[in-house]
Amino acid sequence: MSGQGYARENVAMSDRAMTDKDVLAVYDLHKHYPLPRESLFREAGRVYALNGVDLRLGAAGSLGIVGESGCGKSTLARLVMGLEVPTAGRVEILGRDIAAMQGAELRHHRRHFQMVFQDPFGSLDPRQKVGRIVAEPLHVLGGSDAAQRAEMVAAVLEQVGLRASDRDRYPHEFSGGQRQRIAVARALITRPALIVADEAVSALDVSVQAQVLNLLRDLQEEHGIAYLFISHDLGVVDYLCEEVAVMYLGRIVERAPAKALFAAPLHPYTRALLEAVPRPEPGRRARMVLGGSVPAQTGRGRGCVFAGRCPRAAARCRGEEPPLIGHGDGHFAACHFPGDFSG
Amino acid sequence: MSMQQAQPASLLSRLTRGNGFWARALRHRSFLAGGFLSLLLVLMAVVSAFWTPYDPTKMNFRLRFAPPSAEHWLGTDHFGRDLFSIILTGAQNSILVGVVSVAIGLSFGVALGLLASARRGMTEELVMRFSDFAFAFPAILLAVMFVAALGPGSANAILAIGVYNIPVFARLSRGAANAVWTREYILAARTAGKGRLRITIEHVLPNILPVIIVQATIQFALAILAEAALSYLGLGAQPPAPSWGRMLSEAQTLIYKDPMLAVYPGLAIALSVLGLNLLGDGLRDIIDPRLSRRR
Amino acid sequence: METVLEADRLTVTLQTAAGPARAVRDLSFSLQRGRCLGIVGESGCGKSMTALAIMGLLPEGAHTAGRVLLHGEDLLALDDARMCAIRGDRIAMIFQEPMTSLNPLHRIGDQVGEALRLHKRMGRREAWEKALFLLERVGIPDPHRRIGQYPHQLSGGQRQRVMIAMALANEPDVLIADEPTTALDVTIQRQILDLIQDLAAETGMGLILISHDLGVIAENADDVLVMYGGMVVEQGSSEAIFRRFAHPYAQGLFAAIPKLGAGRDTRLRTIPGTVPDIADLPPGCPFQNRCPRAEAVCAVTVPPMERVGEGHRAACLFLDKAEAGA
Repeated sequence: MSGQGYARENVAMSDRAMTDKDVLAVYDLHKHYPLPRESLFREAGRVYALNGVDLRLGAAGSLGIVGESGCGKSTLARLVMGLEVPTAGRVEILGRDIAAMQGAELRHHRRHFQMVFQDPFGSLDPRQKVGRIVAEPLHVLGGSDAAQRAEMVAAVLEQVGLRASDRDRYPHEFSGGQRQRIAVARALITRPALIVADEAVSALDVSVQAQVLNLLRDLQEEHGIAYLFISHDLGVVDYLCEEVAVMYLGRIVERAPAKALFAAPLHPYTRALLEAVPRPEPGRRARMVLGGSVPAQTGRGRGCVFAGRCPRAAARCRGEEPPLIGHGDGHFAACHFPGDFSG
Repeated sequence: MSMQQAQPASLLSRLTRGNGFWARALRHRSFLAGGFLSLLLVLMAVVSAFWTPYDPTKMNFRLRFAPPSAEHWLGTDHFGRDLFSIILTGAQNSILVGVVSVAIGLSFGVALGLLASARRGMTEELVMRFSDFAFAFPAILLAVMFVAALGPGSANAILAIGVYNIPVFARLSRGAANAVWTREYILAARTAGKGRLRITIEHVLPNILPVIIVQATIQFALAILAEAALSYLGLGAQPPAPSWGRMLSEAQTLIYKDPMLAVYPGLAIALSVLGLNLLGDGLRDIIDPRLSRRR
Repeated sequence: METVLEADRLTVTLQTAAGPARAVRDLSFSLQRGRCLGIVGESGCGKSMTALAIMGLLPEGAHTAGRVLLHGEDLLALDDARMCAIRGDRIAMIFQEPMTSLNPLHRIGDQVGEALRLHKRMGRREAWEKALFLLERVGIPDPHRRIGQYPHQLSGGQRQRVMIAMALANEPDVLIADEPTTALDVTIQRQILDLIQDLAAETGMGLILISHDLGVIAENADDVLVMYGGMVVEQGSSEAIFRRFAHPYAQGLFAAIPKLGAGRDTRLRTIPGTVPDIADLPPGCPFQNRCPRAEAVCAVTVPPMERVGEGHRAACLFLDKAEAGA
């Protein structure tokens, strides 16, 4: 598996010391799904959703994951949340491998990492009252009585800008933005060290999205929560995250502090993504337009994953896979010809 | 526009405004009709448990085939029994059959369906193949086979109908549950560390309940029909217990002498089944407008 | 310049469970040949209802008032049969979700050719040939193979290209694109928008582009309508509007967008409250309960459109103040 060589190269990126202060550490993570067999005589195909991802996220840090559909960002979220088992590699949360834990041990560890989902209309059970929805993570933990739980629910609802009395209402009585606040309250109630947010504001109207983004920021400042924030919206990621990783076909192709990444991207794919974002400014811009679309995840060729669409791809890119290497100041890119887009 | 049309709000218009369950129910005509007929059925059963004009089993050979009169509202049958009293009491039998057979089918079927949906894989295959197998037989044939094996009688008839209901509910609840399992709130429950059993009870079951309730009313109606058919064949309720189905079969030989003997139980069966079906269809519309068929 | 489509005080009233709702109120615009009119707003602002009203595809029980003129002919006054002849021929529409807008059981070529057979009375073979040409024109790679495939065999971006090919089959005078790229990735969005623009320039059709994304509108529209609560609150050339928003809602909406490159040092200005329910709009200005400048008079007076600059108007009673604060 090419992941082996890839992992060795990654020693370079762990210049930030591997300490158990890391809330989240992901090592050489792979996830492949089998496809249904199409023919008796041919081997069943596979979907290569994640192909060797390494990440580290410190306490109270915020890491944005951006990329287009099929880049593996949602698979990453599910693996980090322990909803699926990795094909290879491991996920450690607060220094503990979550795939190695079972039963009650894992259930109790789960208080440290919670998730906020995309769809504010689908992520809340329509037949439960808000109080019960928000308290759900507590039920599994045990060790608290109903009165304590009610108190915690009231407190956390107020923290996200709702009223304590809202616990007796049903989700359909709330607007999209308020529902997402309820989802945030549910994630917050166990005082987690990490919140994984998968497109958490994508379904909201702009005016409401800004409210939720500000809320997420304030909560991080108050409680020192770390965010793994997955989004296709670069502006949102830039607003919320210190560091950003760009994914393409199951790999991280660039990773850097948000400022550096958005000001001076090194990978041509990052550059193309940035260029493609429409900006609400007068006048039209000339820009680099990326041809083609993200290829299927079922094949694994040699060379750079982006070579097929890359305007500067050379013979080397098609034969040799570029490792994710450091370019100083915590800026990493997996490209044989990084940076310098002036020419 | 609507401002000018606004009239002093009567109680009814206040009740039917808005979009709550009862408001929508009160606006739904066929639901109201179905509810009325079903309520009538229940009322007949309840009243007859305490009072009937005459003892429904008491024969009076001097008064055979009496036409409707002030004493005997629907007349009497070939044994001189009061028809109105028999019809009233027959409702008990129908309700008993419906409630018990639906309860059997619902409890086992829903449990199997939920299990299949929660476990997927082999379990789901097994449950579904079992229902396919059961579906391969026509309902009445299955019941006849069952009763033939266990012997005729009301209890066995009810059991047979109940068993037939199991795959109906298993299939329905598995389909509905599978849809619920794909929702994000299930994912949220899993990230909270909840197991499959707990998720099934706390999230899946409450969310598929409306569909099951609707189906239950339809199966109730089908059970009444099936019991009538079994009794007609002599495999259901045994004499002298009043049963609409058996009344029909007894009336068969006398159809030219007094056709009303067949008309009354037939009407009772038809109206009950119609009422329950309207009720079920109405409930479906009211609970989830998206499921309703356009009419 | 030749006007192809004109709306004159278009009003749409919907029947909802909560009573009649004014989804669109007194909307007026004119669209010239080869120009792009952008309609921007949040959910429930009436932008999609406007499109459906023009297409004559409003839900049952909906009421319209005012006029929609296509080359001077009032579409709202036409009967169903006449409207059917115009839909898909003179006016075409593409939707947000390219998967559900295509019939999964029919081959691409048949679906693209359908409009030609229906409106141009073409034979099957002739329509198939034209469909091939259209697929090539909208940039479907390997069109000879794709034309015989089914929608599920195509990617989302390619499906949207097929939708565009279908819409263009009869060279319509007006193309309405309702959130055409919302379901697509940004790099694909760019390709699709560029394609639509090129085709509009080539054929000279008028384009109505509906989006919730101010960026998409800014980069593609010549003229812009900003809608809120069923009303146009600001209207003008794209240049003028994006140089200086005049209406407090448009200003707030712009301020609420996280701008690329602004990073964590800034804090987003938010609009308090939520998007209004059109069935439950207050009298007076629809934005009054979220507006930082609202005064008592806003609750009783529907603000008229006032001129704020060359070809730039906004509906607010306190425009001067609003601009002073901007």
